Amino acid sequence: MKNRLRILRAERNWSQADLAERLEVSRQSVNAIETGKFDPSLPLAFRLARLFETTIEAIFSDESTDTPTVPPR
Amino acid sequence: MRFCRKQLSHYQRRSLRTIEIMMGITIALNILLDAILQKHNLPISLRYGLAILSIAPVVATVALVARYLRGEKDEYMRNLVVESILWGLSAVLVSDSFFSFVRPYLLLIPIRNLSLDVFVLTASFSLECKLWGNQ
Repeated sequence: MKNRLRILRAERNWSQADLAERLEVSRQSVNAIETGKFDPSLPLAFRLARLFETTIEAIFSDESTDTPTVPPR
Repeated sequence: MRFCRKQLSHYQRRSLRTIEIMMGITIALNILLDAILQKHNLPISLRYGLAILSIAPVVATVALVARYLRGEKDEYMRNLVVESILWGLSAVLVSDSFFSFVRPYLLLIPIRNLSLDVFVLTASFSLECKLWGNQ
C-alpha cells in the first residue's frame, strides 16, 4: 500500500519521532509505515487521518492506483 | 536485547525486564532441580512435584508475554514480538528434532535446558534483527 505520510510529515516539519509521539507509537512503527513495510490497522489509520486533518484515502492508496484519492470537501 | 533497548517505551522496557527475570528464574530452577535429581534418589511422587515446580516459571513467563501483548498499544511492535516468538518456537522444534537423533552421542550437553536457551536466544536475536533492520 502506498502512502503520503512522509510528505505530510515534511509539510509540518515533523520528525519521525515527533509523529510517533503524537500517535503514541514507536518511531520504528512510523518508519515501517512510511517505507511500506507495515500497513497500519484501521484505528491507527483513522488516528493518522485525524492528526493530519484529512481522510484515510488522502493518506493511503492501493498499489494499483497511482496517486491517493482526495475526495471533494 | 540490550542493543535496541533505548528505542523501547517504558512499558516495553518494564515488560521485557519482568520477562527476563522470569526466564532467569526458570533457567536457575532447572539447573537446581537437575542437580537435586542427580544427587538424590527421590521417590516418584517427589519427582512429579519437582517436575511441576520446574514448569511453573515457564507458565508464568508465557502469562507475562500474553499480558505484555494484550497491553502493547503499538501494533507494529506487537507484530514484531509475535513474529520473534514464532521464530523462537520454530528454532525449538527444529533443534529438538535434530537433537532427538543425536542425543545419545551428546551426553555433555544439558539437554533439559537446551529448548529454553534456544527459544530465548532465537526470539531475542530475531527481535533485535527486526528492530535493527527498521532503524
